[in-house]
Amino acid sequence: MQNTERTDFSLWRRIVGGPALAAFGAAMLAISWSYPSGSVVQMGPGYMPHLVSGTLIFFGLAILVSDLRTTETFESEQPQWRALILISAAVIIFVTLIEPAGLVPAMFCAVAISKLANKQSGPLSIVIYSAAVTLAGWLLFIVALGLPLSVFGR
Amino acid sequence: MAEQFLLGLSVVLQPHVLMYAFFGVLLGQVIGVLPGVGAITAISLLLPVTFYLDPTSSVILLAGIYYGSQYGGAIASILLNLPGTPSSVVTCLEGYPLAQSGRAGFALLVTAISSFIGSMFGVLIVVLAAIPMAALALKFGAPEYTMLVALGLVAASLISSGSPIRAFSMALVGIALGMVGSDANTGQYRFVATDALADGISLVSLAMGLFGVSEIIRNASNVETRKIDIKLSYKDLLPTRAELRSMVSPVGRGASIGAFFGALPGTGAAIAAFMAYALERRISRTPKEFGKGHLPGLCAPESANNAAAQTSFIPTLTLGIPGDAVMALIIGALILNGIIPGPRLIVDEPQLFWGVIASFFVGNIILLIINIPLIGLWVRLLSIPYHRLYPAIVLLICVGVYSHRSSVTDVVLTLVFGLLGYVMKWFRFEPAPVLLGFVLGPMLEENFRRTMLLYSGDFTVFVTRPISATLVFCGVALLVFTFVSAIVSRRKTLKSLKGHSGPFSV
Amino acid sequence: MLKKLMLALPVVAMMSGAALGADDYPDRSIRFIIGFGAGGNADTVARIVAEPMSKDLGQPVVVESKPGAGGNVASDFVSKSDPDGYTIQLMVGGHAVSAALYKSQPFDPLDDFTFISTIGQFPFFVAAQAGAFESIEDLIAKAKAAPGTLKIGHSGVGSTQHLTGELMDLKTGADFIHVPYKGGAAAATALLGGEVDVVIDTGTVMTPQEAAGSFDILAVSSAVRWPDKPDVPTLSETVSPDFDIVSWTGVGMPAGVPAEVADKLRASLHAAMADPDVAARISKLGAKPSPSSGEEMRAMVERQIGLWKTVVDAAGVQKR
Repeated sequence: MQNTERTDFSLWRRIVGGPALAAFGAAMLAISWSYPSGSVVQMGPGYMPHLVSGTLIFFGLAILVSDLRTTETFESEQPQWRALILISAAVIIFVTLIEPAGLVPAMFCAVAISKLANKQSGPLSIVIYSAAVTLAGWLLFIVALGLPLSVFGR
Repeated sequence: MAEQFLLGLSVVLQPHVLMYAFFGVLLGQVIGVLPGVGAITAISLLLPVTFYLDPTSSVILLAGIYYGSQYGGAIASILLNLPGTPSSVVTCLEGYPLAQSGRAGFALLVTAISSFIGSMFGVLIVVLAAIPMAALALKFGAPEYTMLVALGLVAASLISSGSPIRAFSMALVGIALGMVGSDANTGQYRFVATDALADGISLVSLAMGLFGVSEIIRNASNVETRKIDIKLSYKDLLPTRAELRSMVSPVGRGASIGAFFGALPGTGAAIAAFMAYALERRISRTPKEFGKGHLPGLCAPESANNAAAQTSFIPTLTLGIPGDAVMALIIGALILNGIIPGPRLIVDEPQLFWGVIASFFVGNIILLIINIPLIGLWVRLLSIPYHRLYPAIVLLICVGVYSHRSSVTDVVLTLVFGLLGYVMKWFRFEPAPVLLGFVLGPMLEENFRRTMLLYSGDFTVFVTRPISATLVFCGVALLVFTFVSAIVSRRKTLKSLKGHSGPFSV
Repeated sequence: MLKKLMLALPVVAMMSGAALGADDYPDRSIRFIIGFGAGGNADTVARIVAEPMSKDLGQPVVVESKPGAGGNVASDFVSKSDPDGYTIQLMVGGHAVSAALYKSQPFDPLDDFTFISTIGQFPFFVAAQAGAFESIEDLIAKAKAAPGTLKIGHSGVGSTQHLTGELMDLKTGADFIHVPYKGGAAAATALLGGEVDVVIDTGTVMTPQEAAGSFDILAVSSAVRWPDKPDVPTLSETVSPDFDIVSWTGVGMPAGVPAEVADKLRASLHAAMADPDVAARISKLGAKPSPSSGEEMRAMVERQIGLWKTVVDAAGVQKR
């Protein structure tokens, strides 16, 4: 919440939002191009995707036009690149480790890496903290709830 | 009716049955708080235990987990913007801002009260009107579901604070995401990039990503501890008289909506919560307050999802038809105990039927009693500095989503939606309508196409069937009302602008 | 150091190979993979047998759900896991249907698996609203008299229920409209509400409605009458000679599991099913407990794959 400030709706944000939506619609249309669409009465699997993607492209362009003309101000936030990258890395490492290595290593690494997103923590505190959280996670998911997850590899 | 209910109470109040009810709601509460770990996981893990219990205790235990999880779901939503269950997504919208402004304890208390009243209303409907409700539910065929969902999409298209066109675009994105998987009417795969997507994107991934993960990214780097005062005195906790008064109608409306949607086998608690929220927004005189911790927007959906959790037992108990996977498991537990659920249950097994219903009553009281003292404990969670808290939340999300169906793809998707939810705010796109579209879109397509197949493409079914026609009428009336009120309010603002500028311009 | 490790590897591998001997098996928990979400029949069946098997083998048999693509995600996972007996799969009739329905599968539905035993066999029932039709003959006659008007509700495109309905069309020459629902319960609801005329599904879906007098069960899909419902005529004795559809649940493992390990697991499964309580639970789910040998199960799966391929092609069901 602290990262927000009241600024103008900056130009690049005005230019990117609508076209990004239109691009999503266009990609959807391209993928669903080969799905048979049928008729209103006998809809094929492609009917709704074509309809929705077409509307999205139209709306995307409409939003671009209205954004370029708007004079409203808008609460915008500073991009948190460090957090974005490290949280992503934490999830990716969890995903890579969970099946080959098991729950405990995956939990430990995910916690440690996501902890790095905040500059405050030193290496030792990260290790201690991660170990503690991993232990708590093990107690919760394996001991208390008995979820069918492998603890250490298979 | 009172006599049978007393019979039910006498069953529940036996100490061992009471113990199962208590254990069930407690476990449900815990499961509900944990994001991704759903009632279904807990119930299927406990299914073998029920082999050795009598059928009444089995169902009381399993049912307690289910409605207990509805209670718990709100807690993580309010404290961490992390929907514990899909039906508590809407609770994030108003509950989290309230907690951010230091009123987490108040939000939790209000939620507990709304949930309790919603549940009790649901129980009342089950006691008094189970059979007529079941008969009504059977009148809902494909055309009715089509129109109901269409009405919902119209009513809810203004669910975000931004412009309607942006909100509607986001609902379309949700509908698009809902199409991933095999097409229900032909079986053809759509947008299936890997086999793991063949069953579609899971609602858990989408909700957890858009709300939970994006909020973590937003706040993880904050160096200073969050300045949230923890107000725990009675004065801060208890709603004022005015606040209480403003809760009454939303809770009542939410409970009615929830009771209705819960009783329909095709819809459930999540849809009920969305609808209740959308309705409050539509009829509110202060729509600008929504999204900032507005009380009606918090109590209505909570009351609705809890009412729905109770009435969703109506088709299960009276018709023997499970509305969702949880109910299917409960029916499975009955069948394994040699009891055939269905219309004869109430006659053949009155002890079980009324015992289970009375257990809802008792279970909800237990939930209220264990929840109120816990509020203080939950709120203290917020006194932990966020930089110590968020890695544990990342962990809860990863493990919770993974355990949902042992799929790494689901976890990756949660991250993707988290990034999406983070980035889309830069461009003034709101995440809530995406979820709404995701939930309602597939239902709309499936039921519309089924209607066309069943009635060989005859559009008049929508207006010749009475319930469907009523829904069409409501939809049209809503559109007209919206349009007219928009014009009126624009005129008013123009007038007031003129009024203001008048003296100065002279 | 690295060299030493490399030298040690084959030794370790041999040792773990030796550990595969049936004497030590199992010395850790066994993963019991199901291809469907919690709450389904497959999940329940798996839990019913997993519990006594855990006691018998002295190691936990942990049910793990890997849903997706009609069970294909789980089958793919199991076919590619180590053939050491610690990953087993609950297979269902859908295993044979998928082989016919999917344009390509990342595994061979027969050769990539070691078949252990079937657990239960169950037929499908043809039901209509009470009093709507006098008999199955009446239903088929009315369907033939007005082609393309009567509707069959089924539990999803490509489900065994759906294909059984298509097979009924093909064999009797009737022309039903096949309406997909999300699961058997939704189809039964549609029949209760009168949205469809007929539903084809399992006994678990039908029995409650039959007991309540809402549904008439007109016929059963198996070749002989089903012991639970001896009054219900078979399709084969009435409208469609040789009609024989019986779905099943069973246990499989990846191909290449040592015979002793497979035998030990089979013995444990059969012992579990011999327990009257366990057998009774399987029966209550509408299935006939049917322990078999691995060869019998494989032959049955092979036969069904052939049958479903014919049905999918003849009925023009969309392949995936």
